Amino acid sequence: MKKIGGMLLFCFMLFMVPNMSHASAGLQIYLNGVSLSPSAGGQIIKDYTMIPIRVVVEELGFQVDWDKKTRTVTIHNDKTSMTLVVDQKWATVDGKKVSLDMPPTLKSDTTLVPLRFVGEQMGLVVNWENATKSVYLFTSDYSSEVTKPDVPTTPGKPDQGGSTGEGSNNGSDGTNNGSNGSNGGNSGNGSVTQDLAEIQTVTFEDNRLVVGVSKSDVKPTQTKLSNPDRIVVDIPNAKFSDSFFNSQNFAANGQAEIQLTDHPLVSKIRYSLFSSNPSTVRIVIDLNQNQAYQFTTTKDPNTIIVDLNGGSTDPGNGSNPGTIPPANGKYVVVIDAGHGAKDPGAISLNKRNEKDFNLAQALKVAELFQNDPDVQIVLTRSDDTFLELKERVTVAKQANANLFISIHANSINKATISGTETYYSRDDESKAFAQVMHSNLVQGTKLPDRGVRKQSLHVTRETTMPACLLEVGYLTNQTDEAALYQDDFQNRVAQSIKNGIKQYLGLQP
Amino acid sequence: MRKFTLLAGTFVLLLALATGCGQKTETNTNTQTGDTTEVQQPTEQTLKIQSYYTDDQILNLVPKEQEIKFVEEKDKYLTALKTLQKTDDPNQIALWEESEFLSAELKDGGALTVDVKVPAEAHLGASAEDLAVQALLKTAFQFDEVKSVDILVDGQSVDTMMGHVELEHPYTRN
Repeated sequence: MKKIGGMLLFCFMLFMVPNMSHASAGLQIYLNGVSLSPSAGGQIIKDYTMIPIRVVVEELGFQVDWDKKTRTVTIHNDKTSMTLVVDQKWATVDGKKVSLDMPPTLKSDTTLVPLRFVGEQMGLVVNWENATKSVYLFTSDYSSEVTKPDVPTTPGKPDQGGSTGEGSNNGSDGTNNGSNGSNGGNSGNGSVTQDLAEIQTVTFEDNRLVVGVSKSDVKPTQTKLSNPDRIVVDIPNAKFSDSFFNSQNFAANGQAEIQLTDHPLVSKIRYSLFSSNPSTVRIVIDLNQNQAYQFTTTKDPNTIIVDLNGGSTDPGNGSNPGTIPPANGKYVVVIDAGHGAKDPGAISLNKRNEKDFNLAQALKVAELFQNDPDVQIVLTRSDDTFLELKERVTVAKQANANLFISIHANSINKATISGTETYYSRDDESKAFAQVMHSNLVQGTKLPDRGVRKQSLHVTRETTMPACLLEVGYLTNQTDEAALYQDDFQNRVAQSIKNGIKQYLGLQP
Repeated sequence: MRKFTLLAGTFVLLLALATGCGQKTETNTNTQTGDTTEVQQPTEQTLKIQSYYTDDQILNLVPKEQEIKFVEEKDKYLTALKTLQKTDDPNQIALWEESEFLSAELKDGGALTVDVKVPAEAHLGASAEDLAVQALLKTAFQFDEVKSVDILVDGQSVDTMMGHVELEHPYTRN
């Protein structure tokens, strides 16, 4: 019984995710473009990325056996089998002895194995991006059409073997483990990747593919292919932004797509990181027929546009659909005063209700926009009434709103905590929107800046336009509370919210 | 009237005595539960569990090992949840400090129903509310037999506890 207990405890320690994985801070691991969970607990030891064997099983999907007595890890799939021993600088791969630069190691009861060695031996392509401290893993079946390098449109140097499409070239690199040195040392690669443009959005509306890019100096190429008809756009020296990556459903083959049902011209749009050397994003528009199109790029906002409407259309001043003004020419911004009526929200130190602050603040914002030529405010409530969370979302949808802002005041059972926080839930434009709003808001509140945070909150998650929730200050902190119910504080905050909205929409303040 | 009550009282008493005597020969009827608890001494169990709090930045859940004591297995869940109301670590915040756990009942099939009382004074901000819900769920789901958790507020199945995060009815293990 005791023995079983001990074994259980051991297994527990072996597979337990250390919840405080400080060591992994900043290290990102992607498999076919999908970020592994932050609890993966990968860490860099002496320039080598090491991962717990639990991650090999759970995230990479290989079989792992652990022999406690001999401290031997056996990793296998249906093709390859390897054994590694803790602290031993050699491994056996399919019966052959291979030297290791970095042996497996035991760290706080977790066995860590070198990611590159294990990954490459098991048939993965492993790429390290020093600038972002990211490891990109690709499986060998990551070679669908988007990723197959069959269209010689990528300018610049020929692929130096870092292609993401070739996953099976791993036979030779058993001793080639020195390439592990690029885990931090390959400055040449690092300096190139630092300049990568980030793909932030890919949208298809009104027969127009609009790709939002972080920089203006991208040099995309486009090719039209037939049988089946498709348009291939390659963006060299580019990668997907982290937030875009995470917001998209990248499949196991590294590809994400926009499915268009019943669209007359297009069946779907697919995109992936087609090559990592040079880092190239490829976007393919699958056409239902041979279709004329226009290919343009714009600066400020930086976009790449494939317009299937044939004739030229002014792309307007908004790159994402959320910020294209409606027909009457005014942007619609929903201001949502949190809580109301039977739901008082939090209670302040001096027993004042959060709902009253929220309403007063929302009304002040609305007042500032009266007679505004560009922006129309829609309030979810303009008096002390109660709305369910989903009713607030409905208001935004029905108003066809361009932006959604929920106003709240914060509360925690620790009186020393003070300051302003801004929340978003979706990794789309909401993040950028929250950042713009927050930087303005903290100027208005003049309270400690507690940052932009991501949290799954109903109103910011379920709305479809860029959305954020402002926690203006803490009702449970003396300084914050005193400020929150003051007229001039609220006026200042209202002005800062207005400034944020105008800045995000690119309007004159 | 008073006389009647007295009479009736005596009758009931007599009846009780009579059945009491009868049971000495007739084994086990349901009024005998008093006897069985006397036979089986209540044994107090001690269990180490993980309880969840937040850090003083209100950013993440922080686990902490706590010891709980309970007599009957069915009391385990409520006892475990009540640990969320207090932490002696000054760097942690107990998200449920000002709320109350009224009951936590596990039904057949592993459905745990947790009834909470959340007075207005206990209302938290957006992130703390989310973390509070997560703390409750993680604490409950550490018991393998718990397959789903339904959080009720004052016995009611409501949309939200504190007005930022919607409640799922029930949450299932993911």
